[in-house]
Amino acid sequence: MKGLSATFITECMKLRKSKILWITFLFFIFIPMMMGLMFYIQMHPELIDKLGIIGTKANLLNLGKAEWTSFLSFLTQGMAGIGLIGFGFVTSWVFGREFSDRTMKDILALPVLRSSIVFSKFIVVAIWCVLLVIVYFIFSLVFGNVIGISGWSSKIISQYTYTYTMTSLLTILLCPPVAFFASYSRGYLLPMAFVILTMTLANFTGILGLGPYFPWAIPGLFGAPAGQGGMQLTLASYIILFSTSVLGLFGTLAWWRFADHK
Amino acid sequence: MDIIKTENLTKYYKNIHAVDGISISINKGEIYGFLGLNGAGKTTTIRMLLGMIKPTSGSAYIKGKRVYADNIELWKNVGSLVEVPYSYPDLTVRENLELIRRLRFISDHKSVDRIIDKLKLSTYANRRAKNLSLGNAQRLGLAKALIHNPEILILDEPTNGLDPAGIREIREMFNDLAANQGITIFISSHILGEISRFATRIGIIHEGKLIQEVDAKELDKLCSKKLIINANNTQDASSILLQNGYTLSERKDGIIEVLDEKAINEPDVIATIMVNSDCPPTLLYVEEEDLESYFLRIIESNGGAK
Repeated sequence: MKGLSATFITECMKLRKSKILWITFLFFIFIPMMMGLMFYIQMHPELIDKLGIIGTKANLLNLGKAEWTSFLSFLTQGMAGIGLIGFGFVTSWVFGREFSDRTMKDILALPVLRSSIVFSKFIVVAIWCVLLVIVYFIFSLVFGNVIGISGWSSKIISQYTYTYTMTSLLTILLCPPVAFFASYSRGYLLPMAFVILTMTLANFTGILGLGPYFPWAIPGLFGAPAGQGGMQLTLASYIILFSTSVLGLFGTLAWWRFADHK
Repeated sequence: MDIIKTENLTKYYKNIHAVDGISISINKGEIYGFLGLNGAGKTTTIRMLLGMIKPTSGSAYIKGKRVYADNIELWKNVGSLVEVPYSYPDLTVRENLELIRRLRFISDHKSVDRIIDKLKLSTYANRRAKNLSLGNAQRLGLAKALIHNPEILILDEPTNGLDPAGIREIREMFNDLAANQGITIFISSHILGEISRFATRIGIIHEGKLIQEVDAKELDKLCSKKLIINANNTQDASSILLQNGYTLSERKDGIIEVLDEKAINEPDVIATIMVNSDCPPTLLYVEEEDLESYFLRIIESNGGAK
């Protein structure tokens, strides 16, 4: 426990001084801002021509009625996609930085277990991602209110808060495999390629109707309005997602413990 | 008791024998210089000593305890520096050391200030690691290795990047740590001239094998010597020396080299012979092989550099 506390504090020290932390927050504020802009254009169709490509894009997205239900649904769906990329980047950075900064060799011959370092990194990743989830949600509500979306009710908000939270947590659970690839490849490139590949495959399996059995498609399906695409999540879907997460966690732990650190 | 010991330590990467059956024993207070060319297996050996690489066979021991990844108690008394020292680039010198202080469970907060002073990093204490010169980055690496006053130091080329004054300062510090505090130091280098100045014993590694172990005091005796002679007529001089039973060789520039121990020990006899033969020497001195030449000769006799 003493080791875990020491490694957690040091991970926080490393993170606090990093620009990446603030860049990710800005990114998770920028996305809801853009979503708000799209809905604003939807509410004011006369702007489509004036805004050029942004207006055309907003029109093409076919966001439905500019109401809180569609806005929150869009927000939740957005989290499943943006979360995969954002959380994947966060995980790649937390684990991959030890290799890109070449500091890995300095933390291996210390009186703390390597598992403590790995767990601390996962705790930091989890806290960081949860903060991003909160920031994304709060700013979505702020921008939604600023542009004057209609149909606000506390019942709708609480209902979507649950779906959004669960979608986000399911997405966060997919971080450990990214950590494994960051450790295995000793850097950022492979884990980010892995994230992009899983996103592509999530869409592809969705088309084939296999989404409920592909871990990276599951958060998106959870956040989708009921019955969309005719794909229902089953108990097996959750077991697959949790197994993927646990496999990633133990794979990362095993790699840190048993691999040759050349 | 051996403070550092390896038994037939071996590491293969597929068909490459990175380290091949190295057995060494280092006593308390010794400074063991581990010498080898780049790629000889020094860093792989050091990483095995630090539990970062699992040996294919054989074992490493520190204070009698076998080295492996989970044996973390070992590292309480060991300070290490492996290859070029890197630190967290966005953290300052002080923050990098504070981080190590916490990971080493050092309760004394002043230990950071003390090591900053000791390694003369005070001016740079609040500078980010990414803005340090190579020499100061090296000092920070050494500070991280020394912050907990370890009993054992395992250092991979620790003077890389330091200027001559810095090298001397670190050398004196190592001598002081070993002689006055009984600290055992295992230090790798590829420069024999540098390492021979403070090591008490030297092991030469080549292509993964330990090819020679020598007491640093004995090193001078192992370096070859030759008598260098020149004369106005070197052909005559050569004939005279050959007639007197000396074995010699002639360099391209005409200079004569005599390797006979008798000639090296008594150059005045040679001078007398040559003067009496009406062929006085214009140059006569004993040339001693320098340490780098000795090192390369030993490497050469074991297969040479590849």
